[in-house]
Amino acid sequence: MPFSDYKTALVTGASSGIGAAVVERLSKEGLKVHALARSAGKLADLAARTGCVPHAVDVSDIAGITRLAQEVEFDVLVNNAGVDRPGSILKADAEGIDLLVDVNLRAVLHLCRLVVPGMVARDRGHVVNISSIAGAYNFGGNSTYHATKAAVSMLSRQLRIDCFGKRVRVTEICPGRVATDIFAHVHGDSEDTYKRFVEGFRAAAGRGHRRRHRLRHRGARCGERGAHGDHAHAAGARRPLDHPARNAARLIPPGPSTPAKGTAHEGLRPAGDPAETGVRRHAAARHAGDAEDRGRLLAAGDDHGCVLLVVRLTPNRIAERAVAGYVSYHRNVPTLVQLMFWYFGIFSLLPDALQGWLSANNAERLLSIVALGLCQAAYFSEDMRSGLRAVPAGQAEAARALGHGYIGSMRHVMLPQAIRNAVPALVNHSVSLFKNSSLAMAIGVAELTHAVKEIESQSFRTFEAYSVATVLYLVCSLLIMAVGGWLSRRYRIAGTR
Amino acid sequence: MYSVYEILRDNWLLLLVGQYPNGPLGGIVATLILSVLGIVLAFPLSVLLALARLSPWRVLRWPATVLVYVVRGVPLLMVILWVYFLVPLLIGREVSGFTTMLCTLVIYEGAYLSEVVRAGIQALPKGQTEAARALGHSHLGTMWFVILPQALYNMLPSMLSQFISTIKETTLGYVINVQELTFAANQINNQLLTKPFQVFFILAMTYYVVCFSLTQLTQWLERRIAHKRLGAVQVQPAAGDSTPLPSPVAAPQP
Amino acid sequence: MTMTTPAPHTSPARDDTMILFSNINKWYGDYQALADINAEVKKGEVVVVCGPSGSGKSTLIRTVNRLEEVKSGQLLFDGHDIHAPMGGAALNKLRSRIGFVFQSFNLFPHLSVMENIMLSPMRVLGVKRADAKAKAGQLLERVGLSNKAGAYPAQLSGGQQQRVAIARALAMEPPAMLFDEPTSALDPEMVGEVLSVMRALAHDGMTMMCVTHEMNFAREVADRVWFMDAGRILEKADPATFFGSPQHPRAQRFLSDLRAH
Repeated sequence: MPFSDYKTALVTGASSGIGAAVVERLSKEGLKVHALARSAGKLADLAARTGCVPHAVDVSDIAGITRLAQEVEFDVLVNNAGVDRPGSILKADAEGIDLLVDVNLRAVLHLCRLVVPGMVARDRGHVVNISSIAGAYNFGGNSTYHATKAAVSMLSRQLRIDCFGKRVRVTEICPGRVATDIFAHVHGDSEDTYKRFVEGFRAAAGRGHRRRHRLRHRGARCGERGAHGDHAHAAGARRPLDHPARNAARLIPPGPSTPAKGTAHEGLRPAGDPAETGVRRHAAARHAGDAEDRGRLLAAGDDHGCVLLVVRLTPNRIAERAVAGYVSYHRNVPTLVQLMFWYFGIFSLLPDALQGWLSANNAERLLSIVALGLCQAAYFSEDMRSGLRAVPAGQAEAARALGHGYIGSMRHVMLPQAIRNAVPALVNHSVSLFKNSSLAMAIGVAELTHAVKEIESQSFRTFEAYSVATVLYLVCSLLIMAVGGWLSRRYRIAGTR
Repeated sequence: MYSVYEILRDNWLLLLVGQYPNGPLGGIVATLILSVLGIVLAFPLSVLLALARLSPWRVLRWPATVLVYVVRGVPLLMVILWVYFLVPLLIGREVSGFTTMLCTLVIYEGAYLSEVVRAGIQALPKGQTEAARALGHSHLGTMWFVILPQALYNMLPSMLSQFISTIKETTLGYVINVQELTFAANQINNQLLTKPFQVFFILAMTYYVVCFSLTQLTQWLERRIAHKRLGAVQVQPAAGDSTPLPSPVAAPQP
Repeated sequence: MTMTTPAPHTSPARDDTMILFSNINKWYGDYQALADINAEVKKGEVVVVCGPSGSGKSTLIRTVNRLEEVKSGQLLFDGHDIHAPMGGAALNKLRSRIGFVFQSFNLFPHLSVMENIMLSPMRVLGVKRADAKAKAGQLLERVGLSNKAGAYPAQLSGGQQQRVAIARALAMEPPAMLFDEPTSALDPEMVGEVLSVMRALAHDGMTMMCVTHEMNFAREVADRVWFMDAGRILEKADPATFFGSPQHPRAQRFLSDLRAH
């Protein structure tokens, strides 16, 4: 079920912070968004900005939300309204506990009661519960807050059982520290608060992908290290892979989006579903960007490979050892780990300005190009080294005897022959570079495998989506091999095989 | 670098065995078990595939060729997704990430290994097959008694290389929540949050040490086999080395 | 010696024919490797096939046990049509009765000498291990290599390997032996030991067909010599006639080239 099938959305706590951002984003996607919050003024501003429908209703006003739910059918429900109070249970007061339970838990339950049955009846819907890392980890926050958020977390999982067999999605988002007013409300609006909770952290500017909310932490003080166990929900930290399987506890069941076991695709395909064209369109669009990247990767790898090779063959021992070490590293460390090392490890060492610029400019893609390019350069250099070894030694001697220098003999005599020898191996590694690009999915690059996963989870058509991707990959691999074969024949030295 | 030491000191057990015994076996032990099982189970499959690709019967040759081309043309991640999707359908119940990864590795490695085995078989001199067939051995008899023993021995270094690749491929289990070494490292990173470079440095170095050692082993093995196969220097029969030949009847004079 | 053009045979002509070629033709693409071969090898006969390189000698001998296919014609071995369409098992059975010795020996390097000789009787003919071992021992003695039973082929000289190869073929107790340039890959000083074994075999009455360049061997051991060129048998004669006064001009040129060395 593509996103385009959703028509209306309800966002609670919409006047500021996460709620406002969600309203803005959903409005941009073309949904009719109903924004619910207490402060009419901010709502009016929001309505003016985004064209949403404002409802100045307190979310704990059961009558109010009942009326709203009866008037409008909602396809998307975002339970975002949340409050917090300082202090542990040792300093709690009755009114505080009641308020937190009312807003963070009771309101969510009632809204689900009012809205979800309609979703199930229409076989179309998405419930997004904004809980918190406080629902999973213990640190020095408000105990009631932790409890209510944990309850929302469990509710999200239970909703899955309740909606089994229907195309209703449930998403739980566990933000860590997000620069909103909640801190001011809790700890008092002051310079100090702002400095402590907001400025002390780095925000990833301009990277609002539809379903991810990533924030970088510097010096996070989350108290005790969280429990071992399912770390799939360590949100707030960079989430390396927003893959349904990774967030098993939170999202719809992992793997293919079969709503009910055993009834895999029964009755899920209305005739003439526009989603079908959506599948193809999506794949094509993603793939175009993908192919571009891959071209860049291949070129990068090739150039580096040549440079590496020439450096390695110099008589300079240190240079030779350095390149040997480089090649050894890239051949013995798995590609996925190299990607992670670049994306998490080396990124964190870069100067702040550079980090900011990268984050704003599609860091994942750039870094994965760098990582994969360097990795493949290692393999290419080894291939060309083998190709070079297959050139008879007498060739170099003849070149030197005629007066060519080292570089000259390489360029005019040795390398042309070496590259021809190396073409089969180079083609093989080009194909594997092409396939390695799928690993970039693990750090969030929207390449083909990632796009397919998205399509699959939207449309529930696992077999078709996977088949399309498989065919695309195969076609490209075979194309690369065919090009390699053509190159071999085109540049074949006359009289040789 | 002290923080590297600290991280290792505090988390070595997690890196080694994952959450065992409070959870499934994980860490580097799980990585190695997965790799070994993967390769061991892939091996018979690869021999069968190689034989099918070389068989004179089209009904065996074509499906095998198609399978190998498809598996080699598609990223491992895609194969994982397919297996994750198909296996529960085929056997009617959910399977764990570990089992899925294992099935994937068996299929993936089976295809790649089959190419290695096929290369080994084809690298043998044609005369071996001819001699065996001339003596009356059937196609399968030739394979079993003459060709495979030689081919597999010659290909040991390549097979070991493939084992090293398998170890590297297990990292993709991370994507489907298999508790192996990369997963453990990410757990540590998610706890610490502030030392990603050190954590991933440790991860990279661990893989490096394991794979590098195995690569050295492979090279040693390669040298040993080359030495053995090329044989000792041609032995000149010394006087009295062989027993005297039976003397024929005096040859007729031309 | 005259050559008749016999009518195509459909049944074994005479009882003492071991190998019968009838109108054998073979092409590699456009190139005709064998043209209208008609010949026979009688039981107990030793036939040597010689000729310049590329004449089709090896191709001819390899058609006898169907290591090469033929396009047309009939090839009978001990009364059986080797090139008739037949199942794999039937062909294997036939092959096990034809001894073949290769130019490059083709011993199995992963097996010891003894195992090389024992393997096929056990696995193809179903001979029991003890019997196979005993027979292998006898054969090794016959070729003069009893002390090398446990050695591996890589440890033997070329001549020793070829002798083991002959023993391996003999272990199947074939009614006829085919030799495809058995000494061409050997250093000169080792040629003699292999030829001695072959001479002894001939003396014991084995039917043999040899492709070889060893003219002395042909002179001394052969019953008949076939001369081939460009895929045809141009002359068939007994050694005395062939070496003394060859009829065909091509044969004359061949022999004079040989003598010039």
